[in-house]
Amino acid sequence: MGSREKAFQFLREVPRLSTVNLAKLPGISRTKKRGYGQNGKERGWGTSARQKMHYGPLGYEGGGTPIQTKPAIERSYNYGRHAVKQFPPITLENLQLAIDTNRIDASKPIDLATLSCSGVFPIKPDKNQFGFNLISNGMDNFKAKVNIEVQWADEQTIAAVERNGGKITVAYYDLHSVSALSAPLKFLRSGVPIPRRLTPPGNLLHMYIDPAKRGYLADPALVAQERKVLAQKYGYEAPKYDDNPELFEKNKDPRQIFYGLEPGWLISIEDQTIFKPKEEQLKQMYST
Amino acid sequence: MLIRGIRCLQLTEQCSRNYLTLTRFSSAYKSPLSLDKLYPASSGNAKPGTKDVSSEFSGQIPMNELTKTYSCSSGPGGQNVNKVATKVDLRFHVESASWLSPGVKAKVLEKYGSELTKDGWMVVKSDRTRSQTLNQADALEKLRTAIRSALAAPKPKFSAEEEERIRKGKLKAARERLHYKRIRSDVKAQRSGRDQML
Repeated sequence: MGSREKAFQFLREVPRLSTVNLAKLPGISRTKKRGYGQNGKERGWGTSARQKMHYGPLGYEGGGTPIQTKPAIERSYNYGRHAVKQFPPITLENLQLAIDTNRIDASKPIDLATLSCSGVFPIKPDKNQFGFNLISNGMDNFKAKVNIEVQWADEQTIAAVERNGGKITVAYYDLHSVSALSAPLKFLRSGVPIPRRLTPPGNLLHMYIDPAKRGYLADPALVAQERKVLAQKYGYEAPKYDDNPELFEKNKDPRQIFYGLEPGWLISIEDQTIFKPKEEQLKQMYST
Repeated sequence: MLIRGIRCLQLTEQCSRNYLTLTRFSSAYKSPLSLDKLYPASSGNAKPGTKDVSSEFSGQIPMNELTKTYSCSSGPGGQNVNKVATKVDLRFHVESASWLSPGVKAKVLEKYGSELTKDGWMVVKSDRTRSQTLNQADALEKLRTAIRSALAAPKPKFSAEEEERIRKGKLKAARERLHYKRIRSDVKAQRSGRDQML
């Protein structure tokens, strides 16, 4: 067996190599021994027996830096901060004000596009903002009946909306979809076909499949059940959506960004036409 | 003019009316993630509420049967506590409450009969938080807890094992007391026989 084969055989047999297994090269010293000063051969303890009984001050650890003296080093303070998804808040108070001052039309479904285009609630996708979080400040005075779709909501907000006979859905939009939906005309004029909306990431899925949070991917029967439960908890009649079909029956598919427009369509506003994909591969991609 | 979504899809018989109306006006686009594909067996409607059995209380209270009054809360808070009606007062007449089954009603009257008003109304109040919504939820929780505690069986002070141990302990204490009593009486008896030792 040649030396090359021997070497390969050796590598197959030995355990995993790391710096711990490897022998040091001869002549290279890795450890630097510190001295104890000019007369330090007693290592700071003195010469007599009495001196050796002193044992050092409290916390002395035999010479190395004691733990209480070691500087506090933050190894990683901003780890992952760039990747955190932001959901800037909208209070119910501000939403009521926007509706009362006719900035938002409550007779039509309200979604991210409505809120962004009202001018009152800005959204910045390049700052990692994935949509709005409707919070419950002003829930006692919230009187509007709305069909609203937001990206995050808590139990009290949901109760406040449903108490007035409204409907709230919590839906996820990926950044590309948020950019498109927050400035719809700009996107539609850019000449890019409407993309598919992506599914929520694993760490946020708990929100969007939870019927108690009115997630858009939750079972509708369980959502209806949760509406009854919440109505019993907060003391109001559960909302019924039969009497106002124009407001409550518009639904978005989980892959849809705009109401009534499908992924894959290329809109030309100037020519007032829609271009749909004809190629089989494209059609298949947009229909998954 | 933009093309409107094509209306109407195949409507299955299993779908309840609510779910039918939800899908009626939606567009024709249905991806594999649409709700009727994710939950094909779902009716879209909540399961119907069950009637309370004679001696049980499910927690369900019809809200139109309760008389709700809102007023200003007490305590510190300046202008806000003086102006905002956050205190919640819930009342209902127990005898004529149709939502309480007869067994439940009897137990509630037994436990809370002395706490009702002169006319037989049960009153639950809450001004625990700064919000009327949360106070109403708190008052309802208090009401439900009260009804459930009326229905709960009275808990014995001690369990069966504890009762047995207490009984044995008492017998043992009696035995020991008599044992030492007899020893002492022997000692006293021996003291009196002084003349016999001579």
